[in-house]
Amino acid sequence: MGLQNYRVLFMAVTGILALLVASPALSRLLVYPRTEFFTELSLLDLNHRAENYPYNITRGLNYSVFLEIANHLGYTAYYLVEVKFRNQTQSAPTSFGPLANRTPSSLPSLYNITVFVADEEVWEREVVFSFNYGFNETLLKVEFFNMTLNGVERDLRGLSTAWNASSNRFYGNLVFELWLFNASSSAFQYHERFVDLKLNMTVS
Amino acid sequence: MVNSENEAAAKITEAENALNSAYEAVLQAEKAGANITDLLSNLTEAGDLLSEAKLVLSTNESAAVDFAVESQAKLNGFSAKADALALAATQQRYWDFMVNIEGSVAVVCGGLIVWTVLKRKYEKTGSEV
Repeated sequence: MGLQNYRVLFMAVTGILALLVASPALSRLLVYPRTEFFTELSLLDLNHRAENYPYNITRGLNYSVFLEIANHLGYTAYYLVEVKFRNQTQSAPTSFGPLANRTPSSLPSLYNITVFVADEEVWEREVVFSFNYGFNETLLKVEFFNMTLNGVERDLRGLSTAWNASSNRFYGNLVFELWLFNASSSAFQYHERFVDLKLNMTVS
Repeated sequence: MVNSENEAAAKITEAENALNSAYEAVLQAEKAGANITDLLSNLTEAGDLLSEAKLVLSTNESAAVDFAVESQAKLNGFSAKADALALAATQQRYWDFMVNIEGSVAVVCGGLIVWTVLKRKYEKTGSEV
């Protein structure tokens, strides 16, 4: 067999070797582009499941949930979580429908959590809260005094909730709104999503 | 001692601006391919302190100032560190890329040279390889 018979084999081996050496560089150029960029925001119970959320609230008792943020935006994100508490008549945030219609609650934030999450990473923090309130027997209303969020006391005086006959509860709504820092405008923008706990403020 | 809420608010704004700039520096470093784990942990600490400052602003201005100042202190030299990491990562990526591309060119050239040498030797001797 002459040397020419080995020509194709020699070229193939050389080509494969060249591709092997260039593969780290080629892997950067030939990456399949990501097409979906989003953030997951979730509330989990103490067992890290979406099952046993606090519902019937007793004044003075501590309740815990885990707040979780998973970043799939393709870059390190700078989030702000605004914690708000509302009764059934106050402004609620929205997270459905056209983007322009998704708005945060107009209520002031009671507690802020600043979060930096690297791309494809998950951040989690326990949130412990309790309420201090009284029952106004004349007006049949629950009147709030304050609440404690992760050890920080926030004033809720002036806020009350009436008996909701349709759902059989004194309605309280603990809301966690997600805001995202926009580097080009150097400002936080509502990230069109929130999670919340619908609570029954028991008075017995 | 700080008595004015405005003064405390100004300190918080300063700390906020420092945090925003630091975050932008992290984004640049990340784009350059730098390992930003340490930077993020620094940023998170500064962010937590800033949140604390905002939380106590209405009740304890002095503590708010302390938290804001501490937050800013966490970011001392942060941008320089992020820039250095970004530069090192850019250089590293460039050299890795060049080594890979030049290495593969060298393999092809080496193959051609070996082939030419073998061919000449074969033609000269007339023998089979």
